[in-house]
Amino acid sequence: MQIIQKYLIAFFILFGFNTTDLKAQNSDGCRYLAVIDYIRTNISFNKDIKAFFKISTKKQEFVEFAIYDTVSFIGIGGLEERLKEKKFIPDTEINSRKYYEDKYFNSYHSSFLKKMNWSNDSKIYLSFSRPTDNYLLAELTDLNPYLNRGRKSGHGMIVFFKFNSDGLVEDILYAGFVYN
Amino acid sequence: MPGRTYSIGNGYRYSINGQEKTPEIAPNTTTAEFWQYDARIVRRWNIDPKPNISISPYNCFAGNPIFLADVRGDTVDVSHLRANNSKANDALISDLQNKTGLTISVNEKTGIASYLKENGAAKLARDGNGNIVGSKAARKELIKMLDSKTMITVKDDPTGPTRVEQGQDKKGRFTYTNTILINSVEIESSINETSKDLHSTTYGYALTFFHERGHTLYGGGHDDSNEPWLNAGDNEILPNRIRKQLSINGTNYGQRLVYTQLGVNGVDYLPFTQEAWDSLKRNEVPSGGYIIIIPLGELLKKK
Repeated sequence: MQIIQKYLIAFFILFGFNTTDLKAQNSDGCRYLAVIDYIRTNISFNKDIKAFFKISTKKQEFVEFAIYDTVSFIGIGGLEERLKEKKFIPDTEINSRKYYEDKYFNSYHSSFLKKMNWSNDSKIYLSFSRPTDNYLLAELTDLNPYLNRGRKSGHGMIVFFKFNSDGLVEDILYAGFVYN
Repeated sequence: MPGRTYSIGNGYRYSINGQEKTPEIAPNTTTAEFWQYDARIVRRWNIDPKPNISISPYNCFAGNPIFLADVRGDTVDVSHLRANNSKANDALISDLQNKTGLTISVNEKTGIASYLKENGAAKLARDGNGNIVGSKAARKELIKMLDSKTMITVKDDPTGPTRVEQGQDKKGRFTYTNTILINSVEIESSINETSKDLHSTTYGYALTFFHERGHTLYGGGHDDSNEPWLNAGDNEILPNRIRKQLSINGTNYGQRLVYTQLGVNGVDYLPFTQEAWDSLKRNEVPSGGYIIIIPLGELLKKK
């Protein structure tokens, strides 16, 4: 199953952007693909995901996840101090409330992410924010967003992906939470 | 080089209270995060951020440095909440006072919360009949938290649900922390969407705070219910006890019976009475005893 998914990603990278539908979200799509690829291939991050969500599958090196096809605003709450240390974004922008006031956008459906959301039995869900400058915030949760209409409870991990000039993930920061 | 000297092994570096001496500032001084004091006379230079009315604000360790220790000199820190959302900070402090009968003050400089004492005991608010205001369970727990050596940090975060941070230990294991992120919009929504027969703060600032306390490392690091449609989970044991104690003289705080809300006709209801829960299980709109839960995505739009 995992191999098929990897081929699917490769297929999208190589041929996926020829359709008119995908062109509109081309640049965002590249970022989403880079993040999906990172999560699919980074062993160390997958160890942390497994530890955080208490996934005990020893045979499976990488965590299965489903993708939520609605793009929603994700804030930087919980990451502020480490963002200041890493200097990923200007200090003046590192305040959860100011970030919300400056960067908030209404949620929208992404046909691109819908195409990426192959069905699987995963209990982990990946949601995206909109790519900004050279970074993208995403969230891994154990609550099915398709069934919960944007309500949050359970466990969640907010991940800050920083891209290099080639559009590849250069570094990440993440913070775990117990919601509500 | 000429004129320069150095020495190795200058003797024992530590003073009392597990802290290093800071002789470069003045002889006999010790510096901690929130204070600086003279260990010889056991007096601090700055005023105590958690003053005790019966003790001088310049006193350290209640004058007894042998038996008492205070490594950080603090307990509950609301500085981030106050700096970024003073309205929410005031609402939290006010609601905690109403639910506990304590008089809580927040130090202007440090953002550290403390409660007022009278003759060595907590000063308690009383109603017109002379009865102590609030819930005994809430009061006991808050005094314990404010007297504790563990720092609980309360932060403002408008972008996610009210929640508790998790951190990683050296072995990469995720553990609970003592940092609570408060989303005031979410809490205000719960207050506004409470049915008229219930007290509007049954899921307000204070009771949300006591729920989140259960998630913290300090509170035991409890998860929410793993049967969220069947029970409210461990973190609601204390809040429900508080609700019970506050439900007097015709005031009804109800009881949170389940963790998660149930949807009827596209609206999510969180039941606080058996009748409301029974109605929801029959897929009927309850006549009272509920809070309507607005999805966070909708709340964020209303900025």
